[in-house]
Amino acid sequence: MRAAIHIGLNSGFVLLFFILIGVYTTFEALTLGGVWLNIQGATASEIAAQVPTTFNPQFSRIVTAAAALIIGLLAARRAARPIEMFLRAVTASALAAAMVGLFLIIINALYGAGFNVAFVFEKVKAPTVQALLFNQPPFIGAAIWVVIMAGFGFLGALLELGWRALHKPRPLNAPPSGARNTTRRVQIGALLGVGIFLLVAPLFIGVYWNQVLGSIGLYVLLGLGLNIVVGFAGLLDLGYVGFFAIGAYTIAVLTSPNYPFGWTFWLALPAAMIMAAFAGTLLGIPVLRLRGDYLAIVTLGFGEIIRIIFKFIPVTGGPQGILNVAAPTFTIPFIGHTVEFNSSTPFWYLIFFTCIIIAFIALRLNDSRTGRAWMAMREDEDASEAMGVDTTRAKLLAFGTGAFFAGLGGAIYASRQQHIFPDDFTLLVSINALALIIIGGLGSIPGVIIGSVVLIGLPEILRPIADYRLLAYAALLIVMMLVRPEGLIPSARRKLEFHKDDTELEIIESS
Amino acid sequence: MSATSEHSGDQPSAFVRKQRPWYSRVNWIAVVAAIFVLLLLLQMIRVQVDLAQAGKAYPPTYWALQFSNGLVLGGVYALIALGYTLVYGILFMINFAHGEIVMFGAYAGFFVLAACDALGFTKSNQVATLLLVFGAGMLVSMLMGVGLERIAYRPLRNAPRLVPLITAIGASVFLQETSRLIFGAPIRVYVKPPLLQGAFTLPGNISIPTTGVFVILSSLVLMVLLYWLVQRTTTGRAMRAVATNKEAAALMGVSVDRIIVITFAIGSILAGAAGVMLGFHNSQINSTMGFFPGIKAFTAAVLGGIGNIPGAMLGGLILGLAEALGPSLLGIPSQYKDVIAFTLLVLVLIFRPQGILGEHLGAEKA
Repeated sequence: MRAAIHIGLNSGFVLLFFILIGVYTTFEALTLGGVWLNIQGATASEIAAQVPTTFNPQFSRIVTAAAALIIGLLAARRAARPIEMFLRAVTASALAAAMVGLFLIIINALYGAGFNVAFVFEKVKAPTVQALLFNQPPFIGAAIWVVIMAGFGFLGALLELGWRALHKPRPLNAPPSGARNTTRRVQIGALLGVGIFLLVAPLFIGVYWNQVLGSIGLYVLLGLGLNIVVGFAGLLDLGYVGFFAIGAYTIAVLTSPNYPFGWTFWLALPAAMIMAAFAGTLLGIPVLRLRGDYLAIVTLGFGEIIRIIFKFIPVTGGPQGILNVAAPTFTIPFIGHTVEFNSSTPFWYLIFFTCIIIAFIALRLNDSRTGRAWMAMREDEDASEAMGVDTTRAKLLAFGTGAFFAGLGGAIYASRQQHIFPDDFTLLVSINALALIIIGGLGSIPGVIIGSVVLIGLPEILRPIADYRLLAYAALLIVMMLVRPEGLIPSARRKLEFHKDDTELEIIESS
Repeated sequence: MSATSEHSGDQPSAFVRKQRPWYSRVNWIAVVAAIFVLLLLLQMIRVQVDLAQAGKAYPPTYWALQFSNGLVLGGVYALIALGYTLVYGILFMINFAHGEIVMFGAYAGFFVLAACDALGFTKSNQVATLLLVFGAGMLVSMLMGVGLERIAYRPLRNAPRLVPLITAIGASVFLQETSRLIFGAPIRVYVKPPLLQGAFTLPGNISIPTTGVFVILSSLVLMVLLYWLVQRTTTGRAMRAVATNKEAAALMGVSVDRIIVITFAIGSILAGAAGVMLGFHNSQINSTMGFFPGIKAFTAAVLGGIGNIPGAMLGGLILGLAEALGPSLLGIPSQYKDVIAFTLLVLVLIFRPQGILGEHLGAEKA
């Protein structure tokens, strides 16, 4: 019973948090019709026309019902007997509802007494509170909350009961069911299928989704580079965006007509990558002796320094940035047809093939002598040094390679956007890249791709709730670290590392 | 790898190492950094001489004002840095979200201040209002800090070191976004009570804003209180014991979990006070206000020697002064003041990685 009360209180707090951050009001925008329009690439105003202007808590009722269902399920899971299950589920969900009800009553009373609660809690306006109380007197509204949520909690317990009836729990020492038996051939086939789809799709999906695909691809590039530094070599680099910026600014200065160079894209591209790699190695030198936390802060500082310098020195255009970055042209060999990179489709192909090349390089690096040196260094710097790994060299190589890839990404980004501003390169980009490689699985290359699709692609589909994107990232980061620190698709070695203790524990318990 | 050549058979004995040539014994990073520092000093002298020759040298009143600004910033940084240092001393982790705890303290103080203003309480009882504002800021920050430890850090206490660090980054962004969504994005303005308006005038026609004096004095009081707590009370002794050796402290009957919670609480209380002070000093707050002071305070903690309490105070003071005086001394625009903090950090890490007052950090702490 204590567990049920615990779950009830915690979920009550979560529901209150949802009310405070305005989920109940904002999610009204997330009608199915709106999502569908968004997938078709409608503009924001077209979607906004679909959104009801008055607050109609239909959607929030669904959310609440689902929440109660989940609370019920969670509370019922630990119980053994059916009666206990129902009791716990109802207690937990009713408790959560009671907390919400109490909160609403208090806020309502405060509004009644003339306090403007919205001054503090911006999203909790008087009409919202009224609607959340079902436009009833406060105590009746709160009672409705309790009754409805208790009911759905009951349903949750029923679900759990049904689930148990269908699935007999497997004995603790039985081998895991459903062992993976996809053969390599199937995997390759699937990869090829996805590849062909990605090659053909951009011709049909329109400008907007081409842009989105391109953004995903750019983040894959960034992620692959950062993955080398953080995932392979274990050096937490928070200033990664700095090298992205250096790549972008190099290509902008070299190709923009506002500067006397006037190079072509293809000539400037290697220059941008080399500049970024050089900067990366240069940054690596003073931080050679630093580990973990110190490294994170110093690299973060470097990223910010680079941005501030670009923002305030006149050569790079100050806060206005650089306009008219040249786009590449590409003559297809043997055919002689020249492609002008004037829309997002050719850029997508450029990004796609670059991603494939970089992913291949990263894969080979991982298996190389250098890759093993990185891994050894990540696991234990002192031990690896004792084993003959030149850690200085390995670290500088990691920083340099990572920065090299970031410079490539930055160059393509600048050319695709055609203009760059210093504020394109905030810490947020670093955090996004870090979040996606961690969620995908540190050190795992498919993980980078999945992470990028999940973090950069999914929010585009749910654009009406873009306001919550960062919050969701951050929550995902924390939850991921608490629940599954190895990521969605962990590399084999990582998985072993994180679950070594579990197996040891099991052995101890079973002996 | 180059190390392999050393172990191959071309040396007579593996145990006799040839003296390395002089150019590989010199710490080139330090040489370059030293040249850089010299260049900075030269630049400083040149700028000041130029200004003096042109008859545009800053008047003493200007320097006095900048100096007092530096002291104010230094006091605030020192208070935040203490939170980093306390937590780092015990858990060896950077609480990245510390700056956000500062921000929540500032918001709590702001709302209490606004309420007191609205009720007309500020006019009649200014001192009580200030105490209330500080109390609210400290209380909310303390709750946030303890909650953060409970939810995000405690389950990860034995995880690999990268894991809690990433959680802390996540927590930082999460708290920032939470405050933006709950309190709204627009900047809120701290209205100073009459007590804090105006300026003190010292002999020599040097005037210092009252808020500055107030912030300096209150941060001093808090630091003295903290020093007393850590050095003279049983709890403080337990904290020092846990920082020295967790296992041994636990064997001596110290409840390590309790001490960690207390440490977070104390650090967060100081952060809350710092948040309110920042609010009064800058007179405006928003949801990202804690981030940069947080990073800089961490710099200050490293500067003084992380894990070292007087070090954090000294580091904060030095950083605040460097930031306030640096741009005028070097003749660069004041937008570069963030660069000064980070450059200082890198220089400290090159020349004295253990910080000014810090003891040498073993591999396990670094």
